[in-house]
Amino acid sequence: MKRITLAIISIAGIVGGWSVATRAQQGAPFTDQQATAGQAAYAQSCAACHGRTLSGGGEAPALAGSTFMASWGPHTTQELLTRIRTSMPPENPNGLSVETYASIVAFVLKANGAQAGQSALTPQTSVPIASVANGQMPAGLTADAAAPARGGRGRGRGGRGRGGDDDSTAPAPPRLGLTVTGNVKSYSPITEETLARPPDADWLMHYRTYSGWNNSPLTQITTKNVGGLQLKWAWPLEDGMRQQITPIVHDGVMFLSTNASNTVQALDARTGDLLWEHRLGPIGTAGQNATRTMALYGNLVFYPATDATLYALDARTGNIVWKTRPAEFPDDKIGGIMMAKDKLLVGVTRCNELDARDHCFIAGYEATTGKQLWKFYTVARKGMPGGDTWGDLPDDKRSGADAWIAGTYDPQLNLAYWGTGQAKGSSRDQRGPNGDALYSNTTLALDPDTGKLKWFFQNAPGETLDLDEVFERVLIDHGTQKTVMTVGKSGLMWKLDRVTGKFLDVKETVFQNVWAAIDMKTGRTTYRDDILEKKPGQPVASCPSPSGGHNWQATSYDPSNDLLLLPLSQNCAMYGGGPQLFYEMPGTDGNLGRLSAYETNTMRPVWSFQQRSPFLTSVVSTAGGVGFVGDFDRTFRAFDIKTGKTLWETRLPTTAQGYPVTFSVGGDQFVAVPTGYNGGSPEQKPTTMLRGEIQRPTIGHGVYVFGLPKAAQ
Amino acid sequence: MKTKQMIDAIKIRSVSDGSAWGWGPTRIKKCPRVTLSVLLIAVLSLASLAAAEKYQVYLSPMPFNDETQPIMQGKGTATATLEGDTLSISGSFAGLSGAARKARLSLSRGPGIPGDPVVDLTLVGDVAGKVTGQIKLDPSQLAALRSRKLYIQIDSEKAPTGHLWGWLLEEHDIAGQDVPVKGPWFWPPFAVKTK
Repeated sequence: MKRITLAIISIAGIVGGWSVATRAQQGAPFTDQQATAGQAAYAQSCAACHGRTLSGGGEAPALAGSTFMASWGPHTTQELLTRIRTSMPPENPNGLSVETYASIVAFVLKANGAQAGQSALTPQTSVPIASVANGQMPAGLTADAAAPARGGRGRGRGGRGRGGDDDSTAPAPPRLGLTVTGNVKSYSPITEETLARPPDADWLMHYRTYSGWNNSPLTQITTKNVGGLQLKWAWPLEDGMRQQITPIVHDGVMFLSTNASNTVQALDARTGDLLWEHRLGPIGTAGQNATRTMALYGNLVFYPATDATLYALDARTGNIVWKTRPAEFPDDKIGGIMMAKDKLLVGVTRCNELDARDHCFIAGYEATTGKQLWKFYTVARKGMPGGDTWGDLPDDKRSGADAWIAGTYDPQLNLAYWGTGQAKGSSRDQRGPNGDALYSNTTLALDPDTGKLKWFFQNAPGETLDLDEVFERVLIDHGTQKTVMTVGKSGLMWKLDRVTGKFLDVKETVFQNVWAAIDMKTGRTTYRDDILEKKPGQPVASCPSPSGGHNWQATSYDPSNDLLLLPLSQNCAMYGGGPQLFYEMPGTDGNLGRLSAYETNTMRPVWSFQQRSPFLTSVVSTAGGVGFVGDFDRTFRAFDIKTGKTLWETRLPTTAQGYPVTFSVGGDQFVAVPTGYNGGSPEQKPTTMLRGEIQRPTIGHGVYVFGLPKAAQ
Repeated sequence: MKTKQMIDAIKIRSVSDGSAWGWGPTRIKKCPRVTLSVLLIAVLSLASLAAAEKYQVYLSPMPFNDETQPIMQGKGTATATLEGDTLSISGSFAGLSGAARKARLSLSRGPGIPGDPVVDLTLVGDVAGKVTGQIKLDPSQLAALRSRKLYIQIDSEKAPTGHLWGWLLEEHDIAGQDVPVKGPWFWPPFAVKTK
């Protein structure tokens, strides 16, 4: 019996081994042709967020490597295909053909070391991913750099509708270059003095002023007459890609940009007439980033293109004066840009995707020439100050600390204040043994002339839930005390001494359950035990979710009432293992949006209201006592700064998204609000959570400008 | 200690620094003229008032993604009253995508964090219905209740591992949508502030 048993076992082992070998010989359940098609489809529809090397970025998870295998290895190809199909692209889930989704999964499998086989992958194919893939990307395999041309008017909608990836009827890509010529006659050069004290009528930079206030001294629109606001003009922007722009206004000229084709336009701010247009390109490239900021100095307008080329255009004609590329590596993007005196400061983001030597940084340029003057790396490597805060992690594994939001500047102290994003991989368990990971999630005070670090304060040491602390640093004086305030994704509102970096105070502004303790003497935060002990592939509860709390939708400071106005999101997620799962935040009664006002001297909450729909614009406040904000459900409203009461509202064609501004021309005050989609996770989360409840078109990038009726002006 | 606890218990809503509602300590000023009998009467009166602690629950869908969002529909509310060590729960729900199958009181680390079932509740209904229960809480469960670690979970045939959930939070005002609240507003405190 023993001999028979042994024989049976031996035969079973041989058969089993033959099966494994046969499967390996036969390959995974997709064809090479399918994977090749998937590579192109991935470049078209996925690489913008998930990266050319499938390494992920921001809140787009990695689709290759150990992180992907930890999450998806135990799942089947069918589950992965279903997941992708029902959620992607974020602005139009299930909008591609079934064949395209299958080919993308085939490409993902190939990118994780699976060998192509004889049979095509179908929606019915259900093979454990770990049985065919090992997380090892074949050498040289990336998404194509150049996707088919998209982004022109009428197309370029990220793959809308079935068969939307069929370009046989697509119009020819738009012509690049100076497509509309013009010459703005009355345009006064912007000096250092102008930047330090902007004219009341202008919106001269991202936050209007160096201090990051998003506040205007204009008083024509008041709480009494704002109810009469009417649409004065509107301007469409190219659909596709991400829309999170700030209109910039000087001398009656409004500068707009659209990153679908990297086009910069100058319009008459009173009438909306196009003055000049320069299509810089590239068009519809994979791996794009949102373009939130432009900057002005002299007769120049600075624009960061999506291929990380930094342009200086003549603000009067749109002609290129100079251009340069701050980043050395192909997949880097430009995040925030800002002027500080005569220096253009540039933050770089999406680093370390292709090359281990690549790290994010902030750089200073001579604005008139584009000459790089200095560079400050935001990731501390071995031997550098802070280099001992990444544990044993080698330099080529240290990534993140992206500078994707523009900083602010104090001319008296001559200090520029920047925030940085999270370390990457986003979780501690992805990064391996590590520590605080400087200078991720940190407030940096830099000398804009030299890039020297004057002080730093790490708002979230060793952060592990993709809860960036990168957002605007708002400079507020209380008597002789000079402070810098910021609100991160976790909803913590920080107050520091901006001379020394000393921690002064911190306040929670939404429910949060990630920090078990906050040291009110040092500002040091401590995670929940289960978050610290998290293993790869194991999800943990995170309130807020990685959309925040607070996100890129900037706050506004009203100096008349010492109020900081915060547009906030309220949602939670199971994070860090498999697909993110979302849920409503406890204590909010299902309201995903909150607008709150805090007195900054005392950190006292003054008023708040919440609503089902989250806010997707920054707040702008005015000396007329009126604030403006827009939301996911297409509403743009004016509210009383002192009470939060809504005074006026209107519905726009799609989500109000971007940075509203206010300006005046010839004594008449206007308010401009951008619309659009692809707002990152603050837009993606509610897209899922409110599906079927709030309908909004995923077309309609544009700018809408409102003003008072003629008689009231 | 017992007196202080009873007195603390009546301060259901205590505005601290405006960032959270919480349980605030009560100071008793020394008054040599107050007789012992008067003090005893006051304590007994406060004790009777302290007997009923009220909680409220907002039931919303458990974690979901794009794929499961169509299933995870519905919402509900509940109230709970603690008298002594007995918790009485009464709530309702509606709009489920499939018939409700089970309701439980569960224990977690805190609001928004999944936990484990403690005791079954009585469920009546289908895609809409009621949930009730009367539970005698042990000391650790009493502490969990007051620390906002107890929640109601409703499972359904479409979501057998959990469809709706909501934490038992101390009674608080609910500002209507778009209605500004002046001053501090409610959310469950979580982080311990240390110095």
